[in-house]
Amino acid sequence: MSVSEILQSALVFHVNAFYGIVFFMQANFFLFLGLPAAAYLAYSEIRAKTSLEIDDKRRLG
Amino acid sequence: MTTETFSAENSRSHLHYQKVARPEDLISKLKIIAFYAGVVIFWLVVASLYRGFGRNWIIPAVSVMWIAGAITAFVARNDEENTTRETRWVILSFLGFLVLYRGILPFIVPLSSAQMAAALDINIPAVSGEAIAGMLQSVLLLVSVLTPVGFIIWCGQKIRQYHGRRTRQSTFEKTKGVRRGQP
Repeated sequence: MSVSEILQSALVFHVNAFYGIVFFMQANFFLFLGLPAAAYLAYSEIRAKTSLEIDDKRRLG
Repeated sequence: MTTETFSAENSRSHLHYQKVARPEDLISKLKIIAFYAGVVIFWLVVASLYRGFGRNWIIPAVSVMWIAGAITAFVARNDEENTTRETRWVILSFLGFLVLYRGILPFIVPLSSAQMAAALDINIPAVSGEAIAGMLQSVLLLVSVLTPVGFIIWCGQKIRQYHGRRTRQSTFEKTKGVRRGQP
């Protein structure tokens, strides 16, 4: 098996993988849009909750 | 347990601010993350229960609700916590209704007017048995369309209200500036 044949077969695998990823993204387009929004909401709620808590201890030295 | 210490010098004394990360804080953060992860998994389960309708409508509709909630929380910062909480509860209720509907539907649909009339010992016209299937279909369509639409309208109204408040605030600030001779 020559080097060009190895490269060609590797290219075929990579092109197939690329198409696989693109079709997967296309099929689940709205899911990929919604997931970061849900993650941001979770982050936002944690931030809002922690900002309301006053747990700082002040000490005069 | 980690300890962060901030110190600030004062003319009279040294002030030390100590922020301690307690295990309870970590647990409450993990609870929030677990809740959101649970809602996302529930979303996928409900969508798979409805097959084509789930893939073509439930996933995009809930996704749009997540996005609308995130944009509202980002824009209207003064009410961030309420927006996030209401978003997740609205989505959870919507998905809960869909699961309940999917669970009850197989028991209701095969029931004929004659069976219902015999069971309840009342007179039910045969036509109403045919009408019930159409009504159930309409209920599903109305709820699954109107809930996301209503939620988006609610988000839009919240953003509008926030901007209205900001405009009023900036007007007050401008008026104060004019009074001080700084237009």
